[in-house]
Formats: sequence, C-alpha cells, structure tokens
Amino acid sequence: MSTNNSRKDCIEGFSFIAPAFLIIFIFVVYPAFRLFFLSFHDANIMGGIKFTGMGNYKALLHSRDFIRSFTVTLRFMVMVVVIQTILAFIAALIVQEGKRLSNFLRTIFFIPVIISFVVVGYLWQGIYNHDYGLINSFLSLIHIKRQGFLNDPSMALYALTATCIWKSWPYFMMIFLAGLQEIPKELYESAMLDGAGELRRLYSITIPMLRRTILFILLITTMDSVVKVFTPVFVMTSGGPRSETDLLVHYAWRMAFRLGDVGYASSIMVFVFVFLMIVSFVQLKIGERNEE
Amino acid sequence: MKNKINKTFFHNIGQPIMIVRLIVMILLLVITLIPILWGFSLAFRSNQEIVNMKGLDRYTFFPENPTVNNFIKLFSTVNIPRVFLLTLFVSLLVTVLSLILNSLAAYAFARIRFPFRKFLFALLLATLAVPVEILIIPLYPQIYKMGLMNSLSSLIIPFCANAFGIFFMRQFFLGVPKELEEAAMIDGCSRVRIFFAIMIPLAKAALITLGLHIFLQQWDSFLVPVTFISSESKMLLQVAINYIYSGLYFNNFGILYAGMVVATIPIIIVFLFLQRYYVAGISSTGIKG
Amino acid sequence: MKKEKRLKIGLAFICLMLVMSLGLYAQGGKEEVRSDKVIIETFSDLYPEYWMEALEAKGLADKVELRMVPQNQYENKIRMMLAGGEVGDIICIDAPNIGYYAEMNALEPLNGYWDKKDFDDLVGSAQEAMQWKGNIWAAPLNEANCVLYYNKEMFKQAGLVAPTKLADAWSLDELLSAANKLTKVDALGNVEVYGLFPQMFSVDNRNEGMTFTQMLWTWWFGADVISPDGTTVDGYFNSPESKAALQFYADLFNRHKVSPVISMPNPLASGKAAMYINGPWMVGTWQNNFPEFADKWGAMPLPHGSAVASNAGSWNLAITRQSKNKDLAWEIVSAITSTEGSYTYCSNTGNLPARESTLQMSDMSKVPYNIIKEQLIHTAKSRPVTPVYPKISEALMDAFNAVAFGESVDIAFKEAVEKMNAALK
Repeated sequence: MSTNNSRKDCIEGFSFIAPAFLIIFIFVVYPAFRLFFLSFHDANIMGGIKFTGMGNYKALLHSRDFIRSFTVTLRFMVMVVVIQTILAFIAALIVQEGKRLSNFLRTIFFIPVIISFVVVGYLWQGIYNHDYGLINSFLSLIHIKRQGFLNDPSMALYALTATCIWKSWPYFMMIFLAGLQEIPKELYESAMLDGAGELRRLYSITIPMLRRTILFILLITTMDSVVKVFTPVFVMTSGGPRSETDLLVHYAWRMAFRLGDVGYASSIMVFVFVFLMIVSFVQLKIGERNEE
Repeated sequence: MKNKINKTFFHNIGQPIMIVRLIVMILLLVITLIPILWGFSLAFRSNQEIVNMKGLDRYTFFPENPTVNNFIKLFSTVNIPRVFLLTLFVSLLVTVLSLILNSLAAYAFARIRFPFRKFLFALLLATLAVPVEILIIPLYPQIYKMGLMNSLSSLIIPFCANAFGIFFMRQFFLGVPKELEEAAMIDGCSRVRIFFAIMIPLAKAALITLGLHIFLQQWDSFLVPVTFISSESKMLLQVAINYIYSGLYFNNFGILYAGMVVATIPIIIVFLFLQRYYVAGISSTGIKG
Repeated sequence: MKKEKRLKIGLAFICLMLVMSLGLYAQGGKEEVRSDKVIIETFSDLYPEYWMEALEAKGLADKVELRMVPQNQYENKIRMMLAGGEVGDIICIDAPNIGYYAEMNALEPLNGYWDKKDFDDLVGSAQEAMQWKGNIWAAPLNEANCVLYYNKEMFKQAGLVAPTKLADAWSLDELLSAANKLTKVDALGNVEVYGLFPQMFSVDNRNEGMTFTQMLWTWWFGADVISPDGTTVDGYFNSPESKAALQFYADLFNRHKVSPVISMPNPLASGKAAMYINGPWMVGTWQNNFPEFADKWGAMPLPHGSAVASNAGSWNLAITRQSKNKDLAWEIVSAITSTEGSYTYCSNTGNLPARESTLQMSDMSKVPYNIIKEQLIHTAKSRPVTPVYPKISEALMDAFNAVAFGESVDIAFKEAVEKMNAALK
C-alpha cells in the first residue's frame, strides 16, 4: 500500500520535474561542466582543441591584462556593494512612510530598473558626453573645465559605477522595504517609551532585525556586480580607456568572441565562478556568526 | 498573510528629520528623473540641435525646435515593427513556457515525495551560481552543434526553465493549505488534475508576478541575442538599438534616442499597469531569502 | 462545473501549445529556404548596392542574396558564423585577415577559378595581399590608402600651405609644428580645435581601422612589425625605432596636446579637428552625410619620418569552404571584382580600384586620388600577412590607444611586444 503510493509519487514527481530539468540539464548543467573542461584546453572558436592542463591558469596569473581586469572588477564590486546598499537602505527608510506618497515614490524610483541596460548605457553615455552631455553643460555653467568621464582613464570606472548604481538601487530598496515591513511595530513603540532616540532605534532595532535581509542583499548585489555588467561595459566603453573598465566578464567575452580564444576565456569564467563562491561563502559565514 | 499596519518609527519626530527626509527624497527624485527627461527630450531634437547643446539654458530639457523627424528616420533605418514583433514573440513564449515548466517542477518539489528530491533541489540551487553570462562561452559552440545557431529557438528554448522561477513558485505552493489537496485526493483526483484544476487558479497572482519578471528580463536581454543571432533580419530590440549606434561614421544621435524611447515606452506602460504584482514579487523573494 | 472548468483549461492549454509550436517551427533553425541563391555576408558601409548594379549588368543579380551583418561586430560575427556552420557562400574579408581565415581552412582556394592573366591585372600590393602559402584566397573589391585631410579654412587662417605632391610631403616635425599652430584652446582650458586626429577613429575604439592607421607611425620611424619568416617581432616591432614612434604618438596627446582622447565621431566635418588621417571613402561619407562640408576639405600626402610609407589593403570577397554553390559563387565574385564591376563600384563609392585596367578607366586626377595614385605606386605597404594577425593587430592598437590615454610608453611597449611574440609562437 505504501509502496504503491511511493511508486506513484516517484513517477508523478519525476514527470512533473522532467521538462524543466531536461532544459536545465542540457542548457545549464552540461555547459557548466563543459566550461570547466574547456578551461584546461587550448580551444579555438572555430574548432581545434588541445589539452594543456593548467596552461590557461598559469597564463592568467602572468597576464597583466587579467590582473588589471580583476583589480578593476574588485574595485567596481566593492563600490557598488557599499554605495548601492547604503543608498537603497536610506531610500527605504524614507519611502516607507505614508501609503500614497510611498507608492508614488516607489513607482517613480523604480523606472530605471525596468529600462534595459542597453538604453541606460547609451543614455548615460550621452549624459557624460564631453560636448553636449548634461553634466558637462552644467560644469561649464559654473566655469569648471569639461571632463572626459568615460574617455578619461581616471574617471571612467567611477562613471560606469554611477550608471550601474543608478539603474539597480531601487530594486534593493524594495527588498529593504519588504524587510522593514516585517519588523513588529511594538518594538519601536516600547523603545520610544523607553526614551530611545531616532538613531538609537535605527541602530538597536532596525538593523539587527534586518540582518537576514541585508545578508541576502549583499549576496545578490555582489554576484550581480560581477556578473551582470557585460552590457553596460560593452555599450558604453568597450573595456574603456586603458582597460579601466574592462571588467572580467567583458574581458572573457572579448577573449572568446573577438580573439577566438575559448579555452582561455573559459578559465577566466571558472575563476570568476570560484571567486564568487568564495566571497559568498565568506559572507554567509559572517552572517551566521552575527546571528548568535 | 501578514498585514501589519505600518506606523513607522518616524512617527513622532520633530522638524529636523522631516527636512532631511524631504531633501533626500527630492534629491533621489531629481537623480532618477532628470536623466530620463533629458534623454527623452533628445529624441525630439534634430542632430544639429543636439550637437549645439553646450550650456544649460531653458532649452536643456525642452527642445527649441521639437521634431518627430528622428522617429521617421528611425523607422526607415530599422524595421521597427518586425523587431518589436520578434522581441514580443520571444519574450511571451519564454514567459509562458517557463511559467508552465517552472510551476510543474515547483509543485513537485513542494508537495511530492520522490527519490533524490533533496539532491535535485540542491542541484537547482547550484545552478544559481552559474548565470548565463558565465555559461555563454560553452553555450555558443553547443548551440551550433545543436543546429540552433542564428535561430529564434536558441533564444527561447534554453530559457524555458530556471532555478529562480522554480524556487519562487515552490514558495507559493508551500504556502497553500494542505487540506485542499487532501480533500481532493480523497475525492479521487489525480495529482495532475489537482495541479491544473486547483493549484494553477490559486496561483494566479504569483504566476503574473513571475511572468512579469521573466517577460521584463527577456525584453531587456542583450548578451544572448547579440551572441546567438547574426542576421539583421532576426535582431531583437536591444540588439537593434546597439545596431543603430554602431554605424561607424555616427552622426545620427537623434535616431538613437528615438529608438531608446520607442524601446522603453511599452515596457513602462506594462509596468505601470502591473506594478503591484512586480513589487509583491520582489518583496517576497527578499524576505524568504 | 468542475468538468467545464477542466475542459476550458485543457482547451486553452492545447491552443497555447499549438500556437507556440507553430511559432517555433515557423522560424525553424536555418533560414536557407532559398538555397539556390548565393548568399553574401556583408555590411552596409561596403555599399553592396553597387555590387548588385554590377551583377545586374551581367544578369546575375537575381542569383544573389545579401545578408547584412552589423558592421562593428562584423569580424566577430563572421568567425562565429564559420564556427557555427551558418555562414553563407561569400564573405567579405579585410586584407590582413586573409592569412587567418586561410589557415583556419575556412576558404576555398581560387587558383583553379582565376585566370592568371586576369589576376595579374591587380596592382602589386593587392596581388601580395591575396596570397598565402602559394594559393590565392580572395578577390579585392578595392584598394585602400590613406591621406592627410585638412580643413582649408583653418589652414588659411593659420597661414599654412599644404603640399600637393608626394615629393613635398611634410616631415613629422613639420606636421607637429602645423598641429601646434592649428590647435585652439579657450579661456577655460577646453580645447576647441585639435590640430591633428592621427588615426582613423577615436582612441576608445577597438577595430582594424585603428591598426590600419596607427601602424603608419611605426613604419614612419623606419620599423616593420614582423620578421619576414613570421616568427618574431624582435628587431622589428621590438626595436628602438618602433618605441620612438610610440613615444612620438603618445606625445601628440599628452605633451603637445594636439590630439584628442575624447570620443569624436566626425573629427574633421564637425570642425573639432584640423587634420585627419583617413582614406578616400571619406569623400563619399562627407558628400552623403555632411554636404555643407563637401568643399571645405583638402588633402595632402601622408607625412614621413626617416622612412616614407603609406598603407594598403582593403576589403575582399572570398568563397567559403562550406559553400554548396562554389561555381556560381565564383561567377558572382568574378563579376563584382571584374574591370567593369570594380569600375561601377569604385566610381560610385569613391573607393580606389585594385585593378590596373580599372585605374586606367577611372578619373584619378582630382584630390585625393591624384595623391593616392602616387602613394600607391611608390610608398604603399601591406600590413603583415600572418595567421595570427588579429592578435598582432590587437596588441598594437592596445599599445597605441593606451599611451594616448596616458599609459607609460615603456609599459605599453613592453606589453605589446610580449603579446605579439606570444601569439607568434
């Protein structure tokens, strides 16, 4: 009787998941293994594959381009994670009061998120433009020299960062908002009765209660900032002045699809994957320790 | 579901904080809207006027000589209706297919005890670590070997199922009271029937939310279509915009901005109508994370 | 009621499935339904409409289908299409890449198709560029060569007189001095006019046009890029002369500040630069897109350093090995690149003929063609032919672009040499 049931469960279970898992196995799991496999080979995009063991990885360590790209990616990641998260948090605090105002603000703030990165990229390229761009027009009004922004090696990465933050922060504001709503208001009220001030309430109640949300946001933001940056780089700078904006994902894409060096590009991607795993793991561990 | 009245902790505070709050709010509004308004205005300017925009004046946000010329030229440079229809087709198809496939799998994970369930679920979790940006490199020769290169299928089939969608729907199904299914099962309903007749109708809101998410993701996608499609005749929307820009002796700024407006307006309209679903979706993923 | 609902859901599901599968199959995988047509992969700036004109004259126009690929990704796309087995019968190849595609077994040799006397009609630099390891791999659409364009008004105002004959071409010092005179800076320090735009596109670009014009600077200092046996750059790109060239170029941007790093799509026509190195196709571009500028430009021979050099090599048609229609493809290629075909093409696009017979037919008396004719005969060099040309080109342009943005010449130079030698191994 129970074997019948579990057999039925078995058949039904597998048939329910079969279509989805078929797709996922073919287009996610298999390519993931293939990526790993390719990273140990010298492979050209037009065929031709040769085993080279750790060759690609050794080349990575000695490649100045790679080290530069990794450094730039790190800088970008840290800036985005810190600035974007703080911005999203502050905005959430401000937006949460008042039903209608809050809804209105939420809607307006959210627009950059739904605009595609291609459009955002060209839009900001225009804003940063040396001659007709909005920012330089403003600068020349207050008699400051026009800046190159995306064409200036010392500024390009920051300009790119600003654009990416502009597009993404409202998404995380929403997550914060949801988290804030979960906090029982009694906590605040009893704190206020105890005479706790504004910042004290923030520090002692809000932030601790948001721990899991913050961890979640940090994990996602970190991953997004490393992985989902291909489009803005491609559209705005092609890797940028002196490779200042040649983030790892774009660098790997160039290697694979411009120079046909698929094996090398795969090793870069494996590196990115391992790096993200380590960073996420560290974040989770710190998050766990804080829970005590 | 929880329904807390949200009296915020700003409730009883004095003037200074209110002013700070106001300033930040206005600042954020300005930073959000100014670029969009500016870009929007450029779509209505002639190339000559754009090139002459040197300083800030009263024409910075409103064109001096508004013109729809850019839009006209846009339609003769790129076959907008075809690009639109193709993008719509691909986005809708992916959305519908992934809603079905993800829900099926999600229901199984939520309610059916089958062997290897935990392992398969962990595998699913692991796939979140390898997004398409990382997999595009091996995917490229793989798509070729499957004979799908430069076809719309290559933009559709690989994206019909994904871990995020399955997790999302699973959350929902876990929240459905078991009594409903148990009652139906006592009545002799098969699981399949329960799924289609009970679960799906209940899940309408969740499905719309997830569907919207996926649709938006597909509409805005760039990396995959630009890599897999090489014919002008099969370009999707974002690739088409990049294509406008890519004429090397580029002096058609106006057309580019017109293209950007045309590409964005539909999705903003969709968003405005369905925003509460979208918002609900983000909130729920956040908390359960 | 339950049954009705179930029926409705079932029906809706089936309808959906039908629509979707119809949609999927309507698009299908390959688009070669009309497989008896010869497919040419090309991009719009090659003006393939004039090929159609040439083909029409021979009654071949209806046998051809043009597949347009976005230009700035053309090289990528072609390589991907070749890998994907999806490429058409004829592709366009930029001259220095012929070795690469030939070595990759992507092309069909043309020796069997092409009559030797007809091949000898090509100018010397073109004949060189078509051959790799003893075979002919492509047919040229046109030749290319660059001149130094200048803004006539600005020259007049600065009191400069441009040379018109090759013998009077400026030295690099004269070039620099002119650039200094032509650069205009306003009160705030913003540059209004840059004296010299020394390469084909802005230095934030990465494409072959950059190398095509940046390599000139290396040549002008007397250095070549690769050894004749194609195994190393030591003694060639890796030489003090070559480094001096890189330094001179870097100084244009950072020391003398006569050249811009900011992105500038139309340097001369927009009035933001006074001198510009580019090719004869600009004539057509200015005519079509900037009619007010059409009579404001002048052209002079390229400057020289210790060595005189001008560039060569342009786009060519090649037949892919994957083609199922090689004979017809050759007829098409031959028709487009024939004397009459290339005359139609070049006279309409302002491009330079690659055939001596076409050169005779064409009017080469007006500027810039008179200058180009001299340069083609006396100073034109083709870029190095090597299967790893893409990596060499990328290394060179990265170095030049980097120093323009202020990178140290020592570092950029060293990196470029390393990358080139690594590629040649």
